Amino acid sequence: MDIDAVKNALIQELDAVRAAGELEALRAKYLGRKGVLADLTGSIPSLPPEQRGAFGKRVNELKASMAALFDEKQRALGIAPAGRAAEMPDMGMPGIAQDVGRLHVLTQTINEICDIFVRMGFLIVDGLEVETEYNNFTGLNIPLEHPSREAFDTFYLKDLDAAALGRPASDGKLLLRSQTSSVQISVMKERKPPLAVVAPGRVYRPDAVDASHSFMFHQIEGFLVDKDVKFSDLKGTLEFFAKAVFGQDIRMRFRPHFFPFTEPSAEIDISCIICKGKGCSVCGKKGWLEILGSGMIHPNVFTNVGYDPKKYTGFAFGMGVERIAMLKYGINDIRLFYENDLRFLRQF
Amino acid sequence: MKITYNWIKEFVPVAISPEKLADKLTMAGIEVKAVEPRDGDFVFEIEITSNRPDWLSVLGIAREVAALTGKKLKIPAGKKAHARAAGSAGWKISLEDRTDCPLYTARILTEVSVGPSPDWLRKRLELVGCRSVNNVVDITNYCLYELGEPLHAFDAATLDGGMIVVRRARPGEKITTIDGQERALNPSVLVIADAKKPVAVAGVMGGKDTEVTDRTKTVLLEAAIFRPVIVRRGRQSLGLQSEASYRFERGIDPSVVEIASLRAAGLMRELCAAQPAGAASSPALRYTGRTIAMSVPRVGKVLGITVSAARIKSILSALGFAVKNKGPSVLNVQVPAHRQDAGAEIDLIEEVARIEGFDRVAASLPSIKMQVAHDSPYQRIAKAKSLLTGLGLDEVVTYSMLDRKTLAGFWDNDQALVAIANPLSEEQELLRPVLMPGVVAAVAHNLRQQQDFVAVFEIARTYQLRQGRLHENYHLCVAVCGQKTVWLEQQKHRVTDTPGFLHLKGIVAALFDRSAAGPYEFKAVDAYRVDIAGPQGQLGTMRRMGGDVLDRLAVKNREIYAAEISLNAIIGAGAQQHRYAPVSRYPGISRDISVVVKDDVATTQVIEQIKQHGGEFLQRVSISDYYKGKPIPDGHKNLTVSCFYRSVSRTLQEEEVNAAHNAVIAFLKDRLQATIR
Repeated sequence: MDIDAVKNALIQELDAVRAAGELEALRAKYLGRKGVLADLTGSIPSLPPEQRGAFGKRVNELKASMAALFDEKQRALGIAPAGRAAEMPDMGMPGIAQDVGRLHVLTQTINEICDIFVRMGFLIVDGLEVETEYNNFTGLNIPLEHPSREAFDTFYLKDLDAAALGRPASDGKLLLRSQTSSVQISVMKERKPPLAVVAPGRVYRPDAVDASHSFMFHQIEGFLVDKDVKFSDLKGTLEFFAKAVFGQDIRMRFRPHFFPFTEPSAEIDISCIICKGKGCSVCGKKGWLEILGSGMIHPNVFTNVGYDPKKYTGFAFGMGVERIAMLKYGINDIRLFYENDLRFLRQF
Repeated sequence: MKITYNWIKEFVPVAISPEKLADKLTMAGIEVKAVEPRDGDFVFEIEITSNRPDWLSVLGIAREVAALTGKKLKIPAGKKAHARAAGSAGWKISLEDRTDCPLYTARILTEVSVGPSPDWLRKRLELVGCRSVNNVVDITNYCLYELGEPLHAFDAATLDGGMIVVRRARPGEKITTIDGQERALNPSVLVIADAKKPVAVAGVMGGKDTEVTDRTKTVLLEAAIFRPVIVRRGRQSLGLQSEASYRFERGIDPSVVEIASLRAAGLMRELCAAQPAGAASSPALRYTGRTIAMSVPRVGKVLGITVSAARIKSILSALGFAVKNKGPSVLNVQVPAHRQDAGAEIDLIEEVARIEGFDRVAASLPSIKMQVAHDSPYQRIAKAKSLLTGLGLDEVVTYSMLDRKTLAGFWDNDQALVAIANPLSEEQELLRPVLMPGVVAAVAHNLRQQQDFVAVFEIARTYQLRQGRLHENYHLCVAVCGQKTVWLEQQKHRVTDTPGFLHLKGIVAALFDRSAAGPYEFKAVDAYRVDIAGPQGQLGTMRRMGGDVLDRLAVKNREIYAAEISLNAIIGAGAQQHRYAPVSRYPGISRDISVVVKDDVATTQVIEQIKQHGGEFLQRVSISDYYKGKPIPDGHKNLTVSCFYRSVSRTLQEEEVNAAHNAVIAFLKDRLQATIR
């Protein structure tokens, strides 16, 4: 049989096809089990052996070009490829994928906050949770017998002192850090300025547990030390931070406050994100929400870590991660963070 | 602390509304929490920071208002002749230790008529939250709130021996305080005594037996200064707190002691018809304020704004500091008695910033020097967390403390435990040596909330004591439980996956492999435990919870599996070294082997051995079937292993693959006593 004739006949017949049914009939005629192509293939063994190779090759070429012609016609008619419609899944069914887990909302909040500072050039440092009295208090300019110590009620470890951390016994008893500010001392003792550090982590205070208090919570400490750091830099840095977290529209105020390890010290309020400053139950009708404590690092702290306070200035700030997450997501009970109910965790 | 608007106005002319004033004070560091209109006055609820005892009085706040509004403060006159009387009226003051009590003064008033206070006095005290007792006591309290000096009035007739002795309590001494409680004293407590007995706990509370009553005719009015630490210890040791102790602990302005005493005596003369009869005092206390040299440019360097020397001078003067020019840009600043908190230049810079207003400082951005970001523990942990969530695990955060009950079944080395000295509750007894109890409890919580499937992890510190050293190390705990059901398209049905040890193994292995943490090995110990070992020792353990733990957590008909590993190997691992290996463009050939091996031959061992002996073309080895049961003999398993051979440089010939594959088969037969099927 003449192979070119077969092809030409198919081209003519395809031209006349107007519907899907006709196309399938034609496909059976040419490509079906008893179709023209099958006849051609079946005739190969009857050929003289020296012709079989060349003929077989031409049959294969014909098969490919016929398939292409059918595909072309099919596209022209706008019909789905034959036989595939039945394989289409019910797209109303849920998709199939590996479930991806979630980071805890506190980790997400810490990451979001730290990322902002990392973009500004701060380095993330990981401090110890068990600390000495020196790093948690004395080094931070908090004298042992001062009432300000009471604001930092602290868990102490039984029968252990600084020697158990390989530090001089004069560093005092061991305790669970009551604030991430202890990282200021441990980092500054080890490194020289310039320093730009953020240190997230767990802190502990013996508070009775209720909807807004927990004996364990998270803080992020940040500090910057260099030869020319000013209070105005503290304002700029923290404004950048607060707007990145709470939005460009928020207003801020810096209120003088007291922390033993900074001077001047400032508490930072943002306009209430719920009522936009009009006054509501979240902000206690004041229109302001306190989100940060901060200040210029006290010269005594520099002296304690062996920096020259005449040469260096710096600022430090600290914030509660739970508080920020609670404000940001409208969470009304701090205990939810540690209960680890998946119905809670999967909301973030 | 509470204070009223009208009371402040008695000391400084105020021309702004209570709300405006409250805002000004807040923005100067005296946080006004609330303003409440009451009885024609306004009550300010104020939070005073612990560094500013001088703000614990109307006078102190008024001084601040004067500085903030540019008005003049009216300091009450100290020398009111009509409240004075010459002589000591026969009273003697004796101080055991002047460091405990730097100053003690007593004023004697006779013909006192004790009775109810006039309305104005009662009301004003009520506004600041003080209950009215009688005119004498009310006057002492009034002076405390107004001037910040706590006073005490004794019924002089109840004091023995005409003397006041300020001394430490003797062992075994007792006192019944005004609140009616009998209290045992000890030598850490400073007391006021007469010739025979303690009559007051110094700076904290007076005694019941010597208090002023309706029958009192002669009053001994105490105005003194006690060492803050001694008052604090006394207060703590007796579990007592008072407005007086609160102020003594924070420090008293020595210059106000006499003013307060005279002010009270004057009021008693006016309101109780009292007659001044004399006064006795310990040697006068001389206060010489320190002088601080203040550099004007330094103010700008710290704050980032320029403040002129003249402006600095006017701010500090308004606050009571004496300021003199020392050089062209240096000021000599003398600290007044009421500001002993100010000890250095930075304290003065803060005062300038506060009164000038933080608002005046424009925001600027610091120039931060680039720092090398090492591959820190924090980053390693972040990567691990990201991998674990990708594997479908939710992160949990559980408490770092626990009690012994919760730890039972998870830990058996008592010596390594770290205890909290001052826990609030049983749950805070110990620092946890392992994470598993907390994480498993979180799983149990979710099961009780009817979750079908829980797969969680926590990365946190653990605390263990070894040879006297406390080790705070990061651990990872993974816990899985329940059933996960997935609908699969091809099979057109739901498939149920019940996680167990192999799931944990897969998670742990993925983490170790991705972190280049070095070799590890899983060793089954029994049906409840699999250990994870590394070349340097144990890396962790995997556990199926026993019945005791499940009962304790009220978990029924479920198995909970958990793995705990130390992250030291991952945090300490060197940076991962990746080298490119060429990717083949040629077709490969697959060959299956079906082998029967003894149960104690690990499947992973079979795979490893095949990989090692499969020659250069062997690229992939995977298990395609696992079977136990007939006709496989007992104690054996049948594994079907797929081997895929491929060359990077050419299309492989059948013969080459056969040769490699036969070598594998021979090896399996020979070394693992495998039967090829």
